[in-house]
Amino acid sequence: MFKHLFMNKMKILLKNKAMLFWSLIFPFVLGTFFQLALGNVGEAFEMEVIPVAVVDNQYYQEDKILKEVISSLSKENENQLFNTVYVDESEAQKLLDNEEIDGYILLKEDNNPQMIVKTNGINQTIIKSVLDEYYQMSNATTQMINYNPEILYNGVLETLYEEKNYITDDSNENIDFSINYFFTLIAMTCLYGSLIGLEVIKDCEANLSKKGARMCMAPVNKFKMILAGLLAGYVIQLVALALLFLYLIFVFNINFGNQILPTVVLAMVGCLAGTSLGTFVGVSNRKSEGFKIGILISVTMTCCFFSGMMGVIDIKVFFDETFPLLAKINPVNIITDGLYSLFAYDNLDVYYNCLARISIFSLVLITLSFMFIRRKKYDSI
Amino acid sequence: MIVFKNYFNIVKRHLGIIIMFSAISIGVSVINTSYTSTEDYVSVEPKIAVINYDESSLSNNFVDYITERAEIVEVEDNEKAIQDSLYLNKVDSILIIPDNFGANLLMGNEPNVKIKKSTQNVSEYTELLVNRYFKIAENYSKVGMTENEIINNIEKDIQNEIEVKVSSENQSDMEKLAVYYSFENYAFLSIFTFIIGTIMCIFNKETIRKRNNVSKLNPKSFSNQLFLGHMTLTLSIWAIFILISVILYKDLMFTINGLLLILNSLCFAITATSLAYLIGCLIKNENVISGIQNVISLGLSFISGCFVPIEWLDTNIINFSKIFPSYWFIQGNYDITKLSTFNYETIQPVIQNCGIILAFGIIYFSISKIIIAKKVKN
Repeated sequence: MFKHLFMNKMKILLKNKAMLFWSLIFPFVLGTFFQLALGNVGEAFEMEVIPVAVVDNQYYQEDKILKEVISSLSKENENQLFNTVYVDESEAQKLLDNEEIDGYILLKEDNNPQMIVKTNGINQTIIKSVLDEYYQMSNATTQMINYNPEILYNGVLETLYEEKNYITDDSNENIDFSINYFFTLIAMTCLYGSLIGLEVIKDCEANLSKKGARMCMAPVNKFKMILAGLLAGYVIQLVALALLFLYLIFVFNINFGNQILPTVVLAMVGCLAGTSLGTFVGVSNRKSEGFKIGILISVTMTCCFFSGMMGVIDIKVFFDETFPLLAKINPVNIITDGLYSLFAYDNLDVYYNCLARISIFSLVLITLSFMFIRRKKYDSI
Repeated sequence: MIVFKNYFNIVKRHLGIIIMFSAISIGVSVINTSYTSTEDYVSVEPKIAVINYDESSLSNNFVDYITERAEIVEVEDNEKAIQDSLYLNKVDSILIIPDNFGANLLMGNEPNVKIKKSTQNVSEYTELLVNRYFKIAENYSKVGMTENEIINNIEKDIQNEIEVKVSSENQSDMEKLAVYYSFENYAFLSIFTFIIGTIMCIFNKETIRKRNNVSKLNPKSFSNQLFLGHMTLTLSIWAIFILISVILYKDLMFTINGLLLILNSLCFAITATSLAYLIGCLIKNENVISGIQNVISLGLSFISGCFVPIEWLDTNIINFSKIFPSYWFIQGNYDITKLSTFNYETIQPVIQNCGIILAFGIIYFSISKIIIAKKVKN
């Protein structure tokens, strides 16, 4: 009997276009949009050659060291920092107004360079830093000569303007905040299992639909009927999620880390959380189906927003720090954090914490839903 | 105006969910704007955490030097905290100074500071700062200065900074304003599609449509009243968004930039209404509204620079997004906030941009009219 109920429910659900859209098509479409929007993100943060202008006046021509510094930084090689044009002041201002350069350098009578920029920004800051360095190095040279005039002859001064590196890069290549968008996408898909839960429960409860009333008349154990329906929906949601994982990994080369089993377990519990949320919203009130769908989608999308799906990751940080309790029970945030922990940490402490929280979330909703469902008997509907 | 009147009876019945949707969108817009980091300084201060294992005077002085030039963020000295702070963008880079660094540098052993970074271009600046300090320190040590002399001299050197002139002011708040207005792209598309779609579905119900068709009301007048109803509702929501921006950014909104932003936003609100109306004309089933609403609002927000900065997008995607009004609206917002001089030459592109947005609106409205005319004919 259970198999019969399960198979039939599966067939019914697979014919429900709206539900299939949310579980199967929407995450794929959104994932594609993410990739379109973020595919280039690595390049956006790469250091680019900064367009600058130098006002080519008499004072600049007289400053041999600055000329040498600017020209070596503008040489076309892998360390090129500036793309420099040499123009007069009015032309430089025009280029700045048209945003063709990030700033221009002007030397005046006192030989101190001045930098003119239109707006603030990292490129402008780098130009300033390079000029500061030049200025400070000249000062240091004077101090060194005063301290020990011999250096004019022993070669120390020559090394002063050479590029030298005091830094080793120890960054973890794995860290790329754009992956957070894909974690939230997986979490969102888990939560969209709620729509299946809602669909199943609507057809099983006599006070929610005509079909539910008819089903309650049938000589079938109600618990068995609901369980078979929810299980069928859960299986569909898991398959949809598996397809999404495959799509993201093989089509877009998204790296979810190497810990496959914990990822699968988290995804399975995540889908359970989605199904239980839908069941709870379904049984807890008698509003129209459209209203309940609207509620589930807006709740899910709001949870996604606070997990950093829309816009910069700062929103997630803000929410995590300002409303730590809500952040800890936001199911999208829990799944996102769990996936991130697998990706970033060597141990599984954070992962187990997330797994426990999402399991508790599901259990609470299942218990509440059960309280609404049980012991309902109708004399007449 | 019976249709117009009836329109608001339906709105009244759905008022709860309309208010909920609008409140969520407005709340999300405000939070999004408040937590968008904009650059407030002539020099951008990178967010740096320093973990110093070397307690020498030189390395302590270096930490002071970095503190003056960066926003120092406290990060616990463990792998998890370091990883989290980089991933969550709390820091741009973390500098780890090894034990005995100062002594090794003074002895000419060429020690290195470790860096862990998240963003390449901001970290580049950090590296410039670090290398500059140690280059001067090493050279001072080569000429025979003691640690204290080195520190004193470096402190004098680094006071010398060049003069910077910034030609436009108030950039940081203006940028926030652009973010707030650009978020309207998501909010308007999402709210308008939902509301108009829901109401159109009610009017498009077969029984109601048939009843309306046999009434003596001219179908043209019917659809015009309906569109007027949509416009009244959406422009009321638009007005709420504007009001909130005026409350939040009072000083900036009463400027020409502010007025131009309002104009740009009004054009987009009209176009978004037309788009939602077109979608409403095509929808037959109430269940598909949420799907279309989310695909359109999220999709256009991602590819037009509303959710992620336009600089992150690939050129092909940017070119593709130009066939939607969202791109022109968002671009318009950023262009307006950058304006510092106002004359025919600078304002003309903004007006042209508004014209493009409205042209999209006219196209969507015309297509809706054709669809309605065909339906009536059938």
